Amino acid sequence: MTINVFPEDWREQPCFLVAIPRPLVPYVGGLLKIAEMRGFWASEDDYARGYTAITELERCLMSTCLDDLFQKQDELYRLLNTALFGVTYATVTENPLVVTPAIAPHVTLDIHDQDSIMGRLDRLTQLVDNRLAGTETPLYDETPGIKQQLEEIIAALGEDVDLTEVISNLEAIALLLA
Amino acid sequence: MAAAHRPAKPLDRLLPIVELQYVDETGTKGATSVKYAVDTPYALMDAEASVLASLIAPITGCALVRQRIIYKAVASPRDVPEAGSTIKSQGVFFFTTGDETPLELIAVPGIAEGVISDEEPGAGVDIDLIHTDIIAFADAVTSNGLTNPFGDAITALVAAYRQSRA
Repeated sequence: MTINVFPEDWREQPCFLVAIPRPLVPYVGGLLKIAEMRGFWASEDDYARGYTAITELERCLMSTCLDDLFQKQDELYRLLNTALFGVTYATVTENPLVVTPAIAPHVTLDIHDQDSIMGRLDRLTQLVDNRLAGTETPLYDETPGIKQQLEEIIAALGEDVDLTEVISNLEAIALLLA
Repeated sequence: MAAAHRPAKPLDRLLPIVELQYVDETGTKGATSVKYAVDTPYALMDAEASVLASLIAPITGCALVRQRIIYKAVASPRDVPEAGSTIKSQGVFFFTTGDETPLELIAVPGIAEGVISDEEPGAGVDIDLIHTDIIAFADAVTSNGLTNPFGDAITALVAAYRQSRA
């Protein structure tokens, strides 16, 4: 007598990931055939649920679910690498999916595009370094910096000073901060 | 559907059969089979099967469990199988029937090596879904009113690969 029942809430239950070597897939799939049969299940309802589950499982066997998963993971990696560092990717072929550059084993802090998040942060850092400290950076080379100009103003205020020059320096600082 | 390298031969139709299957108190099953003329329509045989069952009921102690109407056709003479073809190596095609309804699975015995994909990662197992013969087969399946076991109409081929089925 058939006693195989299948729970009504099977879609809510946990799923387990099993990696099946490709040469084994035809056999694993073939062995599931018995569960496609009405006679395997205790009732029509069990059959409907069991058939649905088993055929979905069989379909998954070669829909390379793991590859799909890895692909989504790679897509997420590329999203972050583009957003954070500005690496630009190109799809060479759709099927099989080939994207260049390949994902590297490790990431450096190199910024590939100044419009990326790290690029913008770097730009801000360079701007502050240059405008405040007067440090020459790859992107900014304005000198002197605000700090030096303020020091010059303060030093000048202690002397017999021409206010025109002080005002001119203050205007220069205002321009740098604009 | 065009079969590119092995055109299908027309089959000889046999007499259709109505089969009534009975079960005894031990669970053992047996059947009454009757034959009809070749061109008998399904609806007539279905109706007459019910009449036949009602006539048999008083003269058997067994219980009716199933009725089958079988239309058969056979190859005569038989075509010659390709060298190396194996029944167990089956191409299994998965078709959707909608978002909420079960898949339908159609198995083709002795799937031809020519339609097996050589692209990774499914090389040697996956069936080439863009092979012209596979496209023609899938189109025919999706446009001829076929259903899954629950009567949901097939809509599209979503996957296919080789299985070893006894």
